[in-house]
Amino acid sequence: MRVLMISHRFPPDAVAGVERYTESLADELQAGGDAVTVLTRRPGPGPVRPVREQGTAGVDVIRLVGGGVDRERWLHLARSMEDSFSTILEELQPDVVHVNHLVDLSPRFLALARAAGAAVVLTLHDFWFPCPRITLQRPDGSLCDGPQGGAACAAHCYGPEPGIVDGDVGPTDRLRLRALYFRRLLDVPDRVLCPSRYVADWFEGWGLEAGRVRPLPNGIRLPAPAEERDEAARPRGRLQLAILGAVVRHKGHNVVIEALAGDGVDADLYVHGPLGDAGFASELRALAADVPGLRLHICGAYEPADLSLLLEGIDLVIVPSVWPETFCLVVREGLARGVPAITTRLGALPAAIEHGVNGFLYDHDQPAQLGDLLRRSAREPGLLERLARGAVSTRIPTLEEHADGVRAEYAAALGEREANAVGAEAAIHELEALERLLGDSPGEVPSTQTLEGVA
Amino acid sequence: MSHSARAEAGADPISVKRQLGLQRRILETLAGREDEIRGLRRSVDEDVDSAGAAEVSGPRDALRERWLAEKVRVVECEERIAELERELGSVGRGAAAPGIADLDRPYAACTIVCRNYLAHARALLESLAAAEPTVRRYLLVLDGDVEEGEVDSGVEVVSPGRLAVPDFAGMSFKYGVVEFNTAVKPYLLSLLFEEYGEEEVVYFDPDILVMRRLDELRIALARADIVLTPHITRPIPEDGLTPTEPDIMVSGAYNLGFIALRHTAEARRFLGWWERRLEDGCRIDVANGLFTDQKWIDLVPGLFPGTEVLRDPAYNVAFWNLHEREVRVGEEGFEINGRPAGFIHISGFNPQRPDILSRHQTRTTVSAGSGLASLLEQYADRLKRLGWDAAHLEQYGYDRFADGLRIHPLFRKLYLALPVDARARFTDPLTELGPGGFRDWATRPRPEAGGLSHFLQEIYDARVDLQDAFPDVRGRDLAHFLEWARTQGPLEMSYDASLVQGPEEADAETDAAAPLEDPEPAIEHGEARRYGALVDRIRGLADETLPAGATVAVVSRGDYRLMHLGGRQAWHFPRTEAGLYAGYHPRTSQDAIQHLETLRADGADFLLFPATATWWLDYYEDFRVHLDGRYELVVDDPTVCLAYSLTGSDPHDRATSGREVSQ
Repeated sequence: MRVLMISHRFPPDAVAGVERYTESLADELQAGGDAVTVLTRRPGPGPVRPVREQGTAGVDVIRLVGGGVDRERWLHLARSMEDSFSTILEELQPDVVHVNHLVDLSPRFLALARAAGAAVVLTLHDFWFPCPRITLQRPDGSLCDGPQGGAACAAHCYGPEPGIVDGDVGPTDRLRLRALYFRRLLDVPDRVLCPSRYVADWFEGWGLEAGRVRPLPNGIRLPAPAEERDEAARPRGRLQLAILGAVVRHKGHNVVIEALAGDGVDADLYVHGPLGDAGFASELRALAADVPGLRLHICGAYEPADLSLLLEGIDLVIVPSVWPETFCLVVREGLARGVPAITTRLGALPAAIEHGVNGFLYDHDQPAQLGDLLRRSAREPGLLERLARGAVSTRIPTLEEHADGVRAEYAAALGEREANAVGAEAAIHELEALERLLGDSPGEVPSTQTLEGVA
Repeated sequence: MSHSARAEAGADPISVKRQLGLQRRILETLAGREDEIRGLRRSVDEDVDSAGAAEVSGPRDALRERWLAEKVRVVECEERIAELERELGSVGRGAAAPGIADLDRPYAACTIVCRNYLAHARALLESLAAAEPTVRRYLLVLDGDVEEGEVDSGVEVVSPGRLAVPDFAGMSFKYGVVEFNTAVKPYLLSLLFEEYGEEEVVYFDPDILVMRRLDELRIALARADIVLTPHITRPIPEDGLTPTEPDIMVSGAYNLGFIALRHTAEARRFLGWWERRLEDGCRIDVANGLFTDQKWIDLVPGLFPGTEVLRDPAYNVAFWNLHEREVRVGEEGFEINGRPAGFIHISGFNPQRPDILSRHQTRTTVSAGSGLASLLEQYADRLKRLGWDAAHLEQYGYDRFADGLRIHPLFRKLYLALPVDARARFTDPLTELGPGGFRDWATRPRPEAGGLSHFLQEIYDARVDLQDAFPDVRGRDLAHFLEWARTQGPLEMSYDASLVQGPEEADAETDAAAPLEDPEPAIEHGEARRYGALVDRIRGLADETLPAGATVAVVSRGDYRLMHLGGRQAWHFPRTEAGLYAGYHPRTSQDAIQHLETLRADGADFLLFPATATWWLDYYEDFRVHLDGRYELVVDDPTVCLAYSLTGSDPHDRATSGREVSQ
């Protein structure tokens, strides 16, 4: 099968969850005999131009290099990327186009892929479709139930900004249009996947018909059988903790440091992951400097192949996210290596943790709960060993199993493609009307048609 | 650290930037040790004796610890680099704000031309590449393709089709070449931000040469959204020469041969505002306060607080500010007031006359051997090397209708005056020439206007003298007006006679686009009426006093009515070889004398001064002496006209004395 997989970024430029997922799935499908090409972006100055290279497992990678980023007016940048995309579709003639993310690309890729005769599969790795901020988290850190037709976005996240340009679509109208647009966009693909039941339920709550979004948990490459854990290697009395993932505010690293600031637990906290938020790492250092007994090591990005080494000697993986994660690969990576995890109860995180068996759960806005759990882990004899045994016993889907599931979805999408065409065409037609209202595309001006006319 | 850097560098923000940039590069080197750290990582797992695996050895745990420690160090370097990036952008501004990385970070520069200015654009882009080798250069050619090899391979040629101009065909029609080239400017800047991902864009007119790195500009742009340069920074002397301060006020305080923008929300708002204003307001229409894209910019510092006016005398050096700037040749190139020139705007320059600075000014003369002379000579050579000889002869691509007829400016004016929805009825005014097309609509006789087409009405409205000569143009004077429009009009106003249709060609049945709005009726001017009466009296006096069949040169100021002197042949004075009015007064008495003698040799018998032109005899004193000394004044009625007989060089030889005639 010829598969064109799309992700907004790709290693080595970025190594967050979606990028790693795309890379590992592409490699696995390619190894299984499919012909996979990854299309991604490397934004920067200058005109958009496709640059071809080889990925890690012989996968062809095409980066759209250059062009700008405009997340507010997401169609502004679209045309030159669409031109490149059309050329690539014509050249590759893919059977399936699998979209993992479209931020900084063009939403119209879905329609273009359909027009090129491919079956279109979309995986929802986060909440970018309903939420311009992606995480359903407001600027003040509180969580959001959803866009409410854009009104919630306008009220809590994007205050109206007075403009002097006559005829501009105002910010509130833009957010209303965005909510309409991205909701309708979900009707274009043949199949919509997501990594967890939690995400599927959330989108059903947003108005998608039951069963439209299909949960397909991600899988991991199982590590080589764990060697005997060298307990002697662990510094006596010091808890060894690790947080894996991008160093950004919504991952909640600071909550762990606050939790440790209570009744003193001597600990080493290893932070592995790319720095994604300027200044946040410095804030963490400053915070940690005031916590006696805490040693903070911010180690930067890592290669998946290094995970076993990074988790060597680690007592607990902590996932302190303060947004509803849609899945959590690193929890499973840890469990597979016999490292128990502590996560918040938000989003899809609890799915992998059986409280007290292979880890613990706590409320994301209660650092004290986390502090209690850490102190208990440090002081209760045999607890960590028991949790580690629970971790090893946890059933973790493998990447091979996941790839098989994806292949089945591809086959189903190909089978349903024609039957889906009428509904998809209607959605595309409506999306074009919304695009005219937005007036973002070069060569278009905002229509004088009222918003109510299409809403 | 930035404070110490500033202290070491004194107050010069450029030096501070360079020092911070140096620190950043050192840190980048430290952070860029991927191979070394990867080698350390391999050492953790592999036998250190194995070939090429690693260069370090030791206990596994110790190696792992070193590896992690090195990773931590790299992260710290990266953080510090990010911090420096912010500082580099903030040097010189009051408060930290997102800004440029440093002076070495490439930016984008662009220009817009029609093909006849391609050599100028090449000169600009060549100078940019030499001064700022990393700058990304964009070229928009509005009226034709750029063939391979016509510009550097490093130049990105932008197709006009990519501009988000709402009605490109309409814009190309309603504007003349200068207006059109300037009207698309904001659209190009938007395109570079939005589709090419540029963060900082500088627009230069094609007749600019960039002489060195523009560091001052980059610093200004770090703290501003919009950077402009004023035409002048010191008062222009009131010396009677041009340009004057009122000239500057008419065309705009800031020269839009240059503008720099940083991609911010404020810059986007500015571009949106500018684009909308230029949709119809990019006209040269001084009476209504408009002058291309430029005059609008007077409002920008008020409307957009993120605007900075760059007053550096090394920037945008041009004829309009040479009263305050001296061009000299220094050790490292041209200097302005003793400092290296930034960029020089050589506007209105003819490379065939490098001894003349600009056709638009009279103040600055080019002294042989001066810095300015050297600059202009070099520029002339460069333009010629880059193909000016061929390029400047290229015809403007939007100058003619599809069938080859030249688009008279009055067509553009007529189109522009239509309401937007009326214009929308004409998809492409250049190519749609049949019924329903704009030209057909404009030239079709209108029964409701007595048979006058919109085009003829425009001509009539534009000429007070025509209004006076044919006051009842929709009635009894129509035939005479049409005769003029078919015969003399094309000569005087450079349109094709085929565009003149009278009522006999009218066919209201097929006038698909007729019922747009009617123009205002012609206004009669009292002064014009008085002048008309004078013309009648001149004709009468000529009939009485000048022999039939004589050839009379008339100081006419181009007024064709003075060419109708009964049975006499009348010539404009001065006139062209083709017999048309020359369009100007003689520069000096000598010029007037020379022209007179030429016409006399060609057969002129009399020289006639209408009463409105007798000032010549005061102003051109030597000319009067020449006339009085050599020729006889044969008509002497200062309230109507004066006339000299040119039939003999010796007034005493004349067959008819002027006094006799006038009696």
